[in-house]
Amino acid sequence: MRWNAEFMSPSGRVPFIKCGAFVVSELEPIVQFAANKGVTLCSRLSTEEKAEMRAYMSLITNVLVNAELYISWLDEETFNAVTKVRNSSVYPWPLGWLQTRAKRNAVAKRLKALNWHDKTLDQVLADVEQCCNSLSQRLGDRDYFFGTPTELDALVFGHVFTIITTRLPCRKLAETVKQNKSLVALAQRVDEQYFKRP
Amino acid sequence: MKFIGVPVRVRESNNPFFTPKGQLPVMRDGRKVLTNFEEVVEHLKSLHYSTDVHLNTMRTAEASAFTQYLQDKLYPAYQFAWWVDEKNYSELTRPIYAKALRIPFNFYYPSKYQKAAKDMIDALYGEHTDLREIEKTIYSEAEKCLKTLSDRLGESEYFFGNRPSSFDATVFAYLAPLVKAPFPNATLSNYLKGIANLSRFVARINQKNFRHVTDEYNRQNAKKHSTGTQSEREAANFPNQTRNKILAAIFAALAMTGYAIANGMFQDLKDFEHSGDYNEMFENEEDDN
Repeated sequence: MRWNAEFMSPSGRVPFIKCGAFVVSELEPIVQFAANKGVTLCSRLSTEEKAEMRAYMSLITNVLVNAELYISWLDEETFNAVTKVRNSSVYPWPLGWLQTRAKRNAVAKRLKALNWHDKTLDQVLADVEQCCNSLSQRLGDRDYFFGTPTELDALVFGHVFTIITTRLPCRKLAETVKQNKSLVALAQRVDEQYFKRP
Repeated sequence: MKFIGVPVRVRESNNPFFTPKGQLPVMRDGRKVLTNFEEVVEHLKSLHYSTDVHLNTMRTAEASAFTQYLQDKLYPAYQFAWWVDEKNYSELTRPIYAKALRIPFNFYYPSKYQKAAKDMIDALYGEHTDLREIEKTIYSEAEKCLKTLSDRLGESEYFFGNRPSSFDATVFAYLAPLVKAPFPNATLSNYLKGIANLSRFVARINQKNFRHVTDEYNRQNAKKHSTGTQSEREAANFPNQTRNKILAAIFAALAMTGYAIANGMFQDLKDFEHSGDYNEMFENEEDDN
């Protein structure tokens, strides 16, 4: 039995979907998979706009994802209060302790390779702030980044919504993101439109 | 730097051991010492030299997104091509470093950088165990990235309007070595050479800003044809030397370039190199050429 979501995914990474006999993981293959079935969100974008979209998407994977990893695994307070408890709760002792330790080392290694490990919390937050500013400037006062919903909107929604709705002892990350009203508004819009529970 | 006409003097250096943070390149203005691209851009801005005044906020946002994109997709491929690919490492990277650095440094730094690069690849693509598979993934990502860049550039002269910005400098710094360096295993450079508008972009900036270097390189190459051995000719394929005749100087420049790439700081270097006057200069250790 596999408990944590990442172990159910064939590549060890989230997100993944199950569609009939297929299990497809990670955002890009999923988009590809949907495109093969004839469903795509960015067909009417020009090549230039697609280039721009890819650039913004990697801005998110580079900055927001690393910041999330930093906060949840390297920030002592959050790690002890939330991440450790959650990650190890599904295993019996001492497996949970071991697995959490291994996972933490892996994350630390990744952040070290990207020169994020030596940053202070304030530097991380400054990066996040810059990233959010770039995004909200791109968004302007439109409803979606390119007029209609695209992968970029989905990715932004996924990260922003998670950051602002998850309760962590370290509130600074959520506060930094919340300063950008237009991003929060985008997340709420998507939430209401697509995830409204009756 | 070259783009915006800041007076600067370049001193070549090949030994990171003597620099303040153990890294190259270094820029000095009076008593201020700057060691990376962001710091340098900030500092220039405070002196009212700015490359990006013609960009509005939205353009700035786009430039920063693209910079992250390059770092995300192209930089791992770089590290891989220089340090992890066995053939490139043993035939190109390591010999250059071994010749440029002195004993005992040449035993220490190449392995240090290789280890850093390997760690990075391992941390990012650790779930694949097969090196071939990693190579394939990294290169296909990088190729996609280059394709995207080429789409973005289209037929225009620079990425944002008709004036160069710091983003153009970044792109040039990433692409130029790929075009110029004689990799034994040249998957990525061949792909780049296949994209017409990007190679034209590199050639254009080279022409405009580093012309005397290119000339020098051509002259040297002609001379090498008559006298040099095969390996020397290969080494001279780098267009980065400012002093001719002395082979050691060539290797120093090669090492500096290679090192800067390894640190993702090629940007500053390219901008600072080969300028006339002086105000600022590179930190240097015993440079006896």
